[in-house]
Amino acid sequence: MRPHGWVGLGIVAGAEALLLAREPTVAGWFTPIVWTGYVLFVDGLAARLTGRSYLTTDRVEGVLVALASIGGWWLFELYNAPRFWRGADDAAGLWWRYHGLEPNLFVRRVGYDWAFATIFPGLFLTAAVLRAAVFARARVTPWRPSPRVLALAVTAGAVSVAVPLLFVSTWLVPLVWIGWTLLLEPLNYRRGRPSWLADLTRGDASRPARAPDQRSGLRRALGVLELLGGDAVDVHRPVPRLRQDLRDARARLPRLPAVHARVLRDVSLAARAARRRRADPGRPCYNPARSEPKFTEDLMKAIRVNTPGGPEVLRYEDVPEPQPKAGEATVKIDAAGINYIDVYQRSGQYKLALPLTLGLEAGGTVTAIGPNVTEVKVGDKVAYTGVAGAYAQYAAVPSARLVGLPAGLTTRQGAAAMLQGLTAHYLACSTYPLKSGDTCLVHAAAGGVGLLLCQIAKMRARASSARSPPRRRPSSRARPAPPRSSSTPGRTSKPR
Amino acid sequence: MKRLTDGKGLQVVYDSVGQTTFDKGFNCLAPRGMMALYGQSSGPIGPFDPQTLNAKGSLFLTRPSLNHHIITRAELLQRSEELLGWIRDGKLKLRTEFEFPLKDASEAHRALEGRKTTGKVLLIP
Repeated sequence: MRPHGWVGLGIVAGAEALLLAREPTVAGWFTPIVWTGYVLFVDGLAARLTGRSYLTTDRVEGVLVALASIGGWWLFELYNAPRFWRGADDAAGLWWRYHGLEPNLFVRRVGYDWAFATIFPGLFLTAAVLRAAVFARARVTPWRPSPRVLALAVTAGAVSVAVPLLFVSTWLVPLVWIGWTLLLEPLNYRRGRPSWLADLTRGDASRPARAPDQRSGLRRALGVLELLGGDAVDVHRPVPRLRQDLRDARARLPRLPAVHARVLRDVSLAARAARRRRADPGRPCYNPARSEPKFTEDLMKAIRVNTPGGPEVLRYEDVPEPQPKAGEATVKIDAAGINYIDVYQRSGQYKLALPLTLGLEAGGTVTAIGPNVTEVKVGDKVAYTGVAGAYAQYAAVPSARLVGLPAGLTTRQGAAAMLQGLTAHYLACSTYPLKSGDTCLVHAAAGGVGLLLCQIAKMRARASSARSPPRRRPSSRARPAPPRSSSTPGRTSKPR
Repeated sequence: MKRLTDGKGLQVVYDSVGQTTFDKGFNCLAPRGMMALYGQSSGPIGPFDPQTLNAKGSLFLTRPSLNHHIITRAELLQRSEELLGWIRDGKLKLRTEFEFPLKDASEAHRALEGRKTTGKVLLIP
């Protein structure tokens, strides 16, 4: 293998080792790092086997494509990286969003398309290696495609590549991959470049002239070492000499973990999770059987109820940070309002599925939006009610439930106003639209809704007539009487 | 109560207490008045005979809840814009003297249930 192939192998192995050590930067940029390593590695292999590759032959366009292939993934990861950074530093991780590069823009689509499309040179190199190493030994019946078939393939490929530029679909990856295959394969074939089509056309003649392979199954399997060690291992030598050669070749190989790094990472995470489960059974933690691996940056703090009961069942726990689905926005919560309904939900009077994150209203800042969200944008100050899960650092909320806060209002005021304020509003303005001359009685006037309802009632009286405000029961004004929920209800006065 | 309103009674009673106040509230209402029962913190109300509404003067009884008043986004925005506008202009005073860190949520619940708080209680993550 050529030297740059070894460099690529080193990059891949180094990245896996650093990932195993939970190095956050490598974790965030894992795909482009490994992809760079892989392209170098497979190019080195292709150069060794076929004598030609993007990086070793002087075909300028080939070098450009290979570099674009690497560069495309680095660009693509620029979109993914903020996910990993958000836990540490909001502003730094989301700089591209604050600079107006909204996720639905054309730029993002091009980024996706480019990233997935430019995998093709890597695949092409892989194909070259496979052709030289494996398929050249298979029997191939000659088949020559007609010009019409080639033109159809190129057209279909171009359309397939272009479609994701117009709209991002769930079929993006296979569309672009198949598109580039259909597009490039006939072009390479017409220009006399190595290609699967050319192999098909030549049939058996495409196989390199070599003696029939009469090696045993074991020796054929060991032939893989030919790819790595080059001429150092001659698998046709007698077995004892072959063993010595293999030992020598192995000594020259860089030391790699016996098991693939990802497997090791899963095993170590699972072991740690098991230890934690034993220490604290209530704690949610990584379970490889049930969840994707979570990096610590994706966790947040939330108050959870695992069993119904008194105030002590509220647990301050690490839970996965919610990601916005279609029509949802993630809100970084500045303040969550406590309501009496939370107590009912906690104590089990209202039956809900457990574990449960309490909290039905909050105010905060939008940090991310999912597809098809038009009501809010990143950075908006918002408040909401009616969506569970506000006792947390972040909540994913249907964007139709979010209300933008007017200038001059804090997110804390928004959190305090939503549930009780809107309740008081509909009671005084819709259930019975209070007008001048009306008299009303507010029970529990010192409670959350009562305090606001009394103010709104007075306000509507003034608005409808400045001269004759409605007579209200003087005793229904706010008074530090014990509100709500008790055997002696927090009424402000007895009806006579 | 009738005395305070010159014997006419009330147009509307807003009741969130339930069991212990419900029946008495009916006696205070003017003919065709409305009982808006929006909570029942003292416990659930027993079986109810619609004939009572006739006997007490063609009364209206409703058991409203917030969800049904913010069904469409337009209605949610209309209500919240008016409400938040009042707060911004100082016409509506919020009482938010009680704030707890998120991790002390159980402490906050204890204070709320022990009636040691007034106005809104907030959790700050």
